[in-house]
Parts: sequence; C-alpha cells; structure tokens
Amino acid sequence: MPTTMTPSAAPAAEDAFPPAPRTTFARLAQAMPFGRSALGVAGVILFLVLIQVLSLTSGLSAQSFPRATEIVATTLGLFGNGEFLFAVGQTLYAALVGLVVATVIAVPLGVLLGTFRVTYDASSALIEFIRPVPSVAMIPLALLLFGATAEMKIALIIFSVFWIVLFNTIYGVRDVDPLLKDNARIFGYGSLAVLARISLPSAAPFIYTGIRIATTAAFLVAVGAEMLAGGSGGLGEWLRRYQESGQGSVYVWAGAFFSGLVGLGINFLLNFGERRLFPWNVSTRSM
Amino acid sequence: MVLESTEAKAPPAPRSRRPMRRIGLKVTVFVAAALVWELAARLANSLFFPPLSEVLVRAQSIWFSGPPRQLFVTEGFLDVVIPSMQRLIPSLIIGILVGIGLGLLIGLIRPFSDTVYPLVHFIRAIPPTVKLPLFIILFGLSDTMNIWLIVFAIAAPLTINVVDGVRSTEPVLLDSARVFRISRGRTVFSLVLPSAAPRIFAGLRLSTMLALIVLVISEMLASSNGLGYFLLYAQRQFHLTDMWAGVLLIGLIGYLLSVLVDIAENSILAWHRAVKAGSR
Repeated sequence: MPTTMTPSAAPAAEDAFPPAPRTTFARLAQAMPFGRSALGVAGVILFLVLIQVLSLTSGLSAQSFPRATEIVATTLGLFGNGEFLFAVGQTLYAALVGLVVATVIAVPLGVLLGTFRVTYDASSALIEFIRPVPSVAMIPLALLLFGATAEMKIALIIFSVFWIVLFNTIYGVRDVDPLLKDNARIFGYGSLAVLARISLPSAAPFIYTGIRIATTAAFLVAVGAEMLAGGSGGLGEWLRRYQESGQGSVYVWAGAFFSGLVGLGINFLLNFGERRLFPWNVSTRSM
Repeated sequence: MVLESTEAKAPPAPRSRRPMRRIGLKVTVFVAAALVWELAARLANSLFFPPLSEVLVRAQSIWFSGPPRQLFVTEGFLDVVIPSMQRLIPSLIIGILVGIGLGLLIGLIRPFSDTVYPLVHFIRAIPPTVKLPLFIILFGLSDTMNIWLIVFAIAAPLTINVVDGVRSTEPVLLDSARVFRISRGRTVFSLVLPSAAPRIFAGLRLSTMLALIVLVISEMLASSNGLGYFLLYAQRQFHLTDMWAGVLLIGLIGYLLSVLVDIAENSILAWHRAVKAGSR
C-alpha cells in the first residue's frame, strides 16, 4: 500500500486520502506479498465465485447460465477459434476504417470551424441540435441505403464517430489560451504558424479524447449494426447466432468476456499513447 | 453524434456577455438548418429523405393531434413513448445511484478500489451491444432486460468519472481537514463531494445520453414497443416519413434530457462557475 504523501504536482493520479486507512483489510493487503495486485487478483476470483454462486442459485439452467469454470475455459478456447477470430477481425476492421475516415474528415473541419469566432458560434449552435440525436437512430436508414453489407457498418460508424471527433476538435481549438496566441503574434508568427505551433498542439489532447471516446462508440455501433443486419458478419452476428440458437449460451458469455479483454487491451494502448504523446496532460477520461 | 467529451473543464463558456445575440444566432442556425433540409430534400426528391415539412406534418398527425384533455397528444404517441419511459426512467435512477455510490466507495477506500476497480473497467470495456445477447439469455425479452442493460451501460462510465472527481480533490485541502480533525464523514460531504461535483456532472451528462442510445438499440433488437421498435417498424414498412419523425422525436427527448441535466448542474454548481469566472 502506498503510504507516502501525494506530491502535489500530480494530484489527480492518487488517492483522495493518500495514507492508507488502517483497517484490518488494509493491513491484510499490506501483509500480502504483492499488496495491491494481490487484491486485484482477489477481486477477479471473487467475481468468478459470484458468477458461480449466481449460476447455481439463479434457477436458470446450466445451459443458459453456465458455471464460471466453463465460461473461463470457453473464453480461453476462443483465442484459438478461427471462425470467431475472423468475426472479431471483421468488426475491428470496420471500426478502424470508420474511425480513420471520420478522423481524417473531422479534424481539419473542426480546426477550421473552431478557429474563427463566427464559425465557432454557428457550429456550436448547430451541434446543440444534432448532439441529442443518438446515431443508433440512423441504423434503420443505413440498412435501407446500404443493405446488410460491410459498407453499411462502415458508413454508420463514420457517421456516429464523425460528430464526436468534430466537437472535441472545435472545442479544443477554441480552448487555446488566447494569451499564447497573442504572444506568438507579437513575435511575428503568421496565422498558419500560430495554428501549427500553438493551436494544434494545445488542442491535440482534446482531439485525442474525442478519438478515444469515438473508439468506444465505434464498437458499440458496429456490433449493434451487425446484430440488426444479419449477413453482414462480425462479432454481432456471431453472438446473435448463438443467443438465438438457445444452444451454446456459454459462447455468448465467452464472447462478452473476450470483448471485455480486447476492450481493456485497446484502452491500455490508448492510455499509453496519451501518456507518450501528451505527458503534460495525463488524465483518465473515458466513456 | 451524441457522446461528448467527459472533460471536467467545460468548453469555453459561450454564455457570455450578450445573451440576446446568442439566442438570435441559435434561432438563425436552426432556421437555416431546417431550410437546408427542406430544400435539399425537395431537390433530391429521394424516397429516403423526405422534406422536413412532410415529416413535421406527419409527426403532428400521428402524435400531436390528440384531444386537449390529453395535452393534445394521441394514443399513438403514448403507445410509443410510455413504454420507453418505463424503461428509461427506472434505469437512469438505478444507474445513477449505483454509479455515484460505487464511485465514492472506490475513490475513497483504497483496498476496495484495488479489488473492485479493475472489474468495473472490465465490465465497461464490454460494449453494451455485446452485453445485450447475454442479458437476453439471463432476463428474457422483458423490460427487466432493457433496464439492467441500461443500468450496466451507464453505471460503469459514471463510476469512473466519480472516481476521477473524488481523486482530484486538492490534497492540501484534505490535509488541512485532517489537521483540523474534521471527521471523515464531514470531509467527504463538505470537501470531497463538492470538488468532485463538476466531474460527476460531466459523467451524468454522458450517462443520460448513453442511456438513450442503449434504450433505442435494445428496443430495436429486443422489444415489441417503444421508440426503437417504432423506428425499425417504420423502416420495415417503408414508411420513411414516420421513421424520420421518430428520429426527430428521439432527438427531442435527448434534448430534454440534456436540459434537465443542465438545470440540475446550474442549480448545484453555481459556485463552480463563480470560482471559474473569478480565476479567469
């Protein structure tokens, strides 16, 4: 357990009450060989035990609520299941293409809209009307326009993710300290130089946050679209097939566990990227 | 298009000196957007994009032409909106309570955090749409299923925001409280909670929007009434005007939800704005 005081330079990263509370629980944790990570492992074990107990007491058949051991075994098995990995790959591919295309369009547009007072005011007013409409409401339209295809998924992801990246870029560019820009101008920087050397670097963490939230949204939308449009492949269709068959619910469980692990991995990479790219702006913003 | 940054520091507050100019601008942008939709749809003459006027007329006739004692809404409106609200409202209440409670516990109690927080991250990392078939297996095609799905979808991100808020409490203030031997309970209520409040509201804003998304998609996939079902049904019947009316109605509900969060935030966080304005 950390018993040192938090250095005030990095207050956000640490505890609200830095010295560990001296409870039995805390002392127990301290006595353990690996302290905190041991507690983490204990948490996972507790979680699995909880599933096991719920599975035994829920009144649902072992078929629909499998034992924890079976779920874990099946999840591990999925790492070597070609058909499943292909489906996950399809979903990841759609999400990635959608993210890249949306980012490539949204960032320059956002910079443009955020740079000028008039366009900023107008676009933020427009945003207020567009933001409340959930992008999933567009799934039926996308189905009509594109049919149950990979293009449908990608178009829908681009559409959902575009706004998120755009808002964050606009706000990021607008949030730049005006004093810095004035200073740069005093030192003879032109508008483009101010943009490249002041505005963009200081908006970058905002844009990154946008992309990170967009990543979560992209998966949500991709899987949802796959479930609604049978035949477009991917994780959503795979899960739906096992859920509807009534047989092999354990695969639905394992698929969810698997995507939790993949999600944690992606999150870890994004956090790592944020620390590397913007060491002055570390946070744990997430969705 | 609905998820915003959970940024604690709000975007530069445009609620500046000239409120009239701001409202004027909003109206102008709104009218311009409506005109663009109307004209573009008329020029394109596409079945998929009916003009706004047709959508509004349709929405009026199917939803807002009821008798005065029913506040002018029709039976059709109630049939669509009430089931959705019966799912949305309980799940918002449960999800918010769970999220804030769990966030406080994790933020304040280190060993609890070490044990439980990784699991919260794990559960959050499973997209709500992936949880959906699992919840159908567990709860069947029922309102209970929709409600639990939304609760799980919103509680985890809210928890994370609350934890971040709690942990960003100024350490000097916490030390001062300890020096003055202020009880832990009082410290939490009069120091930790207020300083976490902006972050908690950022989380709330995100959660309400996420709740609407999950509501709509779960109704499309697993219900036989409600807003999501209405959209999908209209699409399957090829009633594109109905479908667009549904999109507008969902947008309106989303807008009302965000206004609700705004009102709560403005009344509770008035001090925060004052502090921010003072430091600028």
